[in-house]
Amino acid sequence: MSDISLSDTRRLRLRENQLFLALSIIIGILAGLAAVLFTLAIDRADDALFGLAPSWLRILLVPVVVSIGTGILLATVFPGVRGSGVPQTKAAFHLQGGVIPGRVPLGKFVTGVLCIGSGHSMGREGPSVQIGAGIASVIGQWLRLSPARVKELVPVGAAGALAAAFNTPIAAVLFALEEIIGDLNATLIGSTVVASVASVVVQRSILGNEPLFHVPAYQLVHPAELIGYAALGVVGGAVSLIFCKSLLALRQAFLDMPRSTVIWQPAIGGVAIGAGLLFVPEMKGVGYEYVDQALNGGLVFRTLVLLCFVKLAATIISYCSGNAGGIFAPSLYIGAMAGGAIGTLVNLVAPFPTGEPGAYALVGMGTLFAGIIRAPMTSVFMIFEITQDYQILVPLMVANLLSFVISRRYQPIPVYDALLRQDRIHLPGAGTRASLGWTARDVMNVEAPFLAADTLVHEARGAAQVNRRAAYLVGTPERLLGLVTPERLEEALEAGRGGEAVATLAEETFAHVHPDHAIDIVLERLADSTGLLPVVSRAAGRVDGVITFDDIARFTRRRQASGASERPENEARTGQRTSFGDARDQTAQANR
Amino acid sequence: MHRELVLLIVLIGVTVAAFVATRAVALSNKALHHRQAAAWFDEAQRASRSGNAETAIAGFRRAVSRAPENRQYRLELAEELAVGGLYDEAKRVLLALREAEPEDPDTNVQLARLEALGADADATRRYYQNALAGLWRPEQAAERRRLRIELIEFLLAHDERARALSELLLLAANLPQEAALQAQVGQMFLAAGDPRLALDHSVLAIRLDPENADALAGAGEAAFELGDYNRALRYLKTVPRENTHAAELRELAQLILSGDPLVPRLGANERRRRLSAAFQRAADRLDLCLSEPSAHASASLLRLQREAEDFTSVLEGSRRREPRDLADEGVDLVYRIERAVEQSCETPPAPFDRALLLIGRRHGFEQS
Repeated sequence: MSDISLSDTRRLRLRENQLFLALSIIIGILAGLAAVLFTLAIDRADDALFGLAPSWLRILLVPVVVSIGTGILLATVFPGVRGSGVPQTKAAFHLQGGVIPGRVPLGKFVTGVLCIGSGHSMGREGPSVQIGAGIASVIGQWLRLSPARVKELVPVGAAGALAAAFNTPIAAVLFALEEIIGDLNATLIGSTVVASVASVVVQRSILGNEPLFHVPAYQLVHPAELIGYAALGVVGGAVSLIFCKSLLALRQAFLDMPRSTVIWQPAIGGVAIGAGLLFVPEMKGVGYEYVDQALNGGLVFRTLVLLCFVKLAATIISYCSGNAGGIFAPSLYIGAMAGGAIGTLVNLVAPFPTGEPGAYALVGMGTLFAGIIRAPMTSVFMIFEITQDYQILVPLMVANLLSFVISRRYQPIPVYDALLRQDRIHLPGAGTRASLGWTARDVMNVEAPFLAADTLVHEARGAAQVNRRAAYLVGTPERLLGLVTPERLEEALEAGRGGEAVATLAEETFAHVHPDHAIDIVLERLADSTGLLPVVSRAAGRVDGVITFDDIARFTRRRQASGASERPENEARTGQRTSFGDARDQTAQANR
Repeated sequence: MHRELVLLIVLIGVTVAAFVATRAVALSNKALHHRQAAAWFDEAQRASRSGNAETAIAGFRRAVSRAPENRQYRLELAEELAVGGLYDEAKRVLLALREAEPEDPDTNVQLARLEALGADADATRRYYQNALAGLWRPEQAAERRRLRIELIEFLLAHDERARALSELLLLAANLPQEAALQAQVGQMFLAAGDPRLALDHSVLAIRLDPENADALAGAGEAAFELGDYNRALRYLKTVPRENTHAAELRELAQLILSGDPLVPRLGANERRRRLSAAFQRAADRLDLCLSEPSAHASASLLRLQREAEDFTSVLEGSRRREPRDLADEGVDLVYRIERAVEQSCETPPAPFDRALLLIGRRHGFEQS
């Protein structure tokens, strides 16, 4: 290494950056093509399955039969591609180093086309994001890039796919930064912009410049109209809450069903959707044609209200029953209907001049997006890109802000993160991601004191007297049931419960940390704990180790003895900037 | 580095192949969409023809959603939306089309017709004029002419005679030698308040087709308006009996010609007889008017009654006076009485009353 001069190093870095830029363009194009193909395939599937004027029997049976097929595929061939794809992409980025297996984008494509094409009320943008991110990750792995580079490609692919799926390049970049990376100041902005632009250019060269929605020029007609938009923000926040709470509750109910039913769960959704389509065909699939109608004032008040709630219910059933499809488009659909309804009311009762109900439908789209997806910047820019008109920005920001605040107040965890938590995956918070210091992983003791769940209380007390730990974990590293303290064991013995299993005494609620939590969070939670803090992995909920005050003291002494007070972060970062060849060596080493 | 380059080249190759494949799928999808749109469009047109606006709108909407770039589908959708009473949405559809092609005559015409339904006369006129000023192919001259006629009819219906007249002059400048068209333009000139040009076009139409009833009626009416009752009667006599308006005018013309005391080359006795008849009718009508319970016996009516009494004695003792001077004085009084009665009394005028008024106007007593 000493033979390499500084100028050589700089040249190598420059070359690698150029290669990464070229790769960003290629990934943007491929992700865009995949998104376009996904959209076209959904259209084809819809046409093949329903035809132009389907009979009632066909409408009823298509979602059921196709859902049985996709249920089998999702349970056996493509596990992990249910639902939107955005939460999975976030998890892959934050917890799996950006590694997404090749079968994920393929599975998402196939099952997404079948589910949405068979009438399930779901969106194509979320799956497109997962497909794009998956393609990017697979290419990164195929090129044997360094783990850091593979990870960086995930939001690049996601932005490219979303830009093509929704025809909004700026919003796609913001979505990748705001939602996938979780940081609008991320250094990846350049690559995501490049991918997004490349993707949109390709998409428009194939599908033409026809906008997704034909929106007339709307504007704020009277300053007092902001009251109407504020009302829309409040209603939007409430509808967002209903959507999120119902979605999470019903999904939990499906998750609580026996594992043997997983394969059939999508068919339950299929039955509901098939029956619903007989009465309200407008709830089918993505439904952007009806959004267009709402934006152009083509729907009356009663229809707007009906479609708002029917679409909400249909999306929840489709999603929770485990079908593959997103909530991005449904949130826009529901928002357009809610906005249109509020706009019609404002037009009726307002004593001041008002805009068309279509203007409210447009703002409603952004409002629900801000409330459900919780990406306020993306929602503002998305609507701006659709309308290409600054006039609508002020009411849009007012309504979005209110919806966002209400939704965050009563549903603190964003819906994508909450969905991951239901799968026992905990994403790191912004503070944890920003932390550059020592983490729980550095401090923890991997030898955790476990007691098997069926250990008798008097046996456990005996072991506790020998080991003298502050507390014991009950269960196994894969399935932690709770915590029990020596004091609790003593009390139980005195109460004559020595013959019972220790699992009956385990405290199910206890403080814990994740391996990437910063040391200050560890200390804070340790102070609130029984003196023993389990370290639980984010992805699988597995116990990786424990932390006690002794471990902290031992760690501090060790660091002082070695003379290092700072984490060698710079070294780690330099390691991320390996060239393709270095990455190949690392991968080979990892494989060995 | 060599390996990376090879991999990148492979990746570029894959990308190009994927682009070509996706484009092929997109083209095939587009063709499918166009077929679907055409099917929806046909169904919508059938529904529209059978008067089922709701089904037609749904069909046109589907057609538009499948082929959004198709102008015809959008225009038909807008038209059907207007039929279904969804004017605002129809207008939005048309405005979106107009944004893309501001000079498109079809879009502007539809917008004009839509605005006409909404009673916005200014906007209607503007869209009609935009349509007329748009890009027309030479073979569309007849269509453009029909549109101008539509605009003129709209302007006349909204009492914008001056604008209608200016459009009529533009229309008349390039009018083909067709009897029906000349007759129509003649009638529009008449409605716009230019009986001279109306008569010219109607006469031209009669020359092209002497049997053209509309042209004959138009010429008769125009001549009547110009006060040329002899000519008017000549044309009106040839108009079929079913044309009640022409029959009415014919009767009036006959009354005027047979009852006018100021016609030149009239014998003294006949002049006196006509004057007596006219005056007697006017005096009777005035008395009748003053006897009406609801009549407002204004000072002017009472003054006219006194004048009438004075003129009766003048008429009775006027054997030595020059009949022409007496007729002038009498026709003036008759005209004033008829006009005052018309304004003050509810009794509808008989044809002879209208004839007396027209006689007064004919001889310039309107200004007195």
